[in-house]
Amino acid sequence: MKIAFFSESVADESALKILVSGILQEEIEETDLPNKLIYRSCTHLDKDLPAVINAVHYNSNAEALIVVSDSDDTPVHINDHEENENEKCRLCQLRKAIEKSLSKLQTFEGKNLLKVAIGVPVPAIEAWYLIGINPQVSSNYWIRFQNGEKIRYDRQKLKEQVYGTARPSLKLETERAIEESTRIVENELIEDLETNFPQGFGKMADEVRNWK
Amino acid sequence: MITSIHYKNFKALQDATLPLGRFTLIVGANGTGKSTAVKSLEMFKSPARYLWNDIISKSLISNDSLSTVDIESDRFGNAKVQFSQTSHKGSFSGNPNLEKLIIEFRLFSFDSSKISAPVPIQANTILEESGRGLAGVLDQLRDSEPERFEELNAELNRWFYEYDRILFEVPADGQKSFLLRTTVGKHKIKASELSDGTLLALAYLTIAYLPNPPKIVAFEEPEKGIHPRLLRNIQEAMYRLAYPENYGEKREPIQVIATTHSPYLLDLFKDNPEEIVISSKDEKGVHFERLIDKPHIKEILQDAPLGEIWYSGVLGGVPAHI
Ligand SMILES: [Zn+2]
Repeated sequence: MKIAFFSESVADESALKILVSGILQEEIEETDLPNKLIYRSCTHLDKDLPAVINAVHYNSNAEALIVVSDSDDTPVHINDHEENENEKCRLCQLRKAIEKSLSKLQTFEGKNLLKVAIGVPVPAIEAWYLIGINPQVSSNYWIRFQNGEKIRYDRQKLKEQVYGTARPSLKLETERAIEESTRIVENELIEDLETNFPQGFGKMADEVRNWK
Repeated sequence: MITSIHYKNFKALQDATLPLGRFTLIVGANGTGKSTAVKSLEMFKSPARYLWNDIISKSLISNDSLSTVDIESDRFGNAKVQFSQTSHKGSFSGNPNLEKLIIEFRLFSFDSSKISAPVPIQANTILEESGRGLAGVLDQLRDSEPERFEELNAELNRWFYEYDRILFEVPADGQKSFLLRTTVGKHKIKASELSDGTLLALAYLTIAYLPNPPKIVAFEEPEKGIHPRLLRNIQEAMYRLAYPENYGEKREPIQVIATTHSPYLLDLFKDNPEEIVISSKDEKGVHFERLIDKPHIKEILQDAPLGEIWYSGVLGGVPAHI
């Protein structure tokens, strides 16, 4: 399957390729996106996402797009949001912006509607990389932190655990991303990721499996 | 390392303290004093070259006849720079080691046409503030530190998939310029034919790989002319200077100050909020405040990405014209 990725860095993308390939249990084919996508932060998602979705749909051979953005300090997506979307929740924001863009896309002979799956690591993608290593990583644990409890990690500590420093080079970040996601797939830990991160990872995995 | 600079009656900085760390990103709209602050260090290198008229703010009516800047450092004590209406020139007093450190300060503001310009072949070419001299600096690096030069080439290829090597040519007698070789087809592209963004990024990359960079450097709006995809690399170049131990570098940390009004660049520092200083201006003048010292910052950050929050004006320094 030809899948494009839109995430915060090239390092994330290399991990996502491996993880999504693990979910699909098939190789991900390269797309012909010119110059890859522009990696940028989640600032101005409402402005940037339509442009990205249009580019992938109209100007590439990608059949599907994975959009991933860390939840950082925003509220964690919970089931209640399915009924009443939370404006501050990263997953709700992404979903809304993507649905809006997708509704405007046109399909034609040989061009089906772009499939999109959203992943929101809580609080950051390093938490996913630590599944099977740090027994605490889960969105429920992070929710406890947001409710004011003292917990054993924060974003900087997660980074330190994965990279040995809170300021890793992109090269190191990419190497570690590949190592850990390969470990997750090889040790069959995808399911654990779905259990510990049911919304941010689980929903993405469900969506990806639906593509087959 | 300079830990803080307190300005009193210095241009638009009537009474403001700029806190500094190993790496400091000053975020603020135009006219909020961030540029004045980084440029001030240039003046402190030789205050005697400046007159009272260079220091007073034309827009402010003040009865004061003295401008005082107090500089504090972690290892070299304090220093004072003063400009007064009565004496003609500014003066520096304080720890001579701190003075030595300040004299090393360089404010880089790269210009693509200067970066690509051929340079005379000579010993000890330095990278000028505009980026002029880059070909000479790269050439010296290749000859004196070949391993470092190889690492730089590998990093170049990670930044730009399309280029894999820096090459050199002699465009005219006694001159040297650089070229980039394409990964596919191994074509040689002259510096003058490279895009502005590529040239600017190459200047940042080079300074990060210098064996002995100046001890304190500042970059004004490093996002200027840089493709958003490369902002992360620019951040990394600055981090390589400030946190050499994270990059396998043996040299001393360089103190780095950068200014920005790009929400995208700001977002890259979301996990290191202690490095961010917000510059803002109100009726009372310019203020600098560490992001982590903002009241309720934890709650504020729950609302939206850092860049967007700043852009919205919640943090002050409202970006009115960008
Ligand atoms: Zn939600």
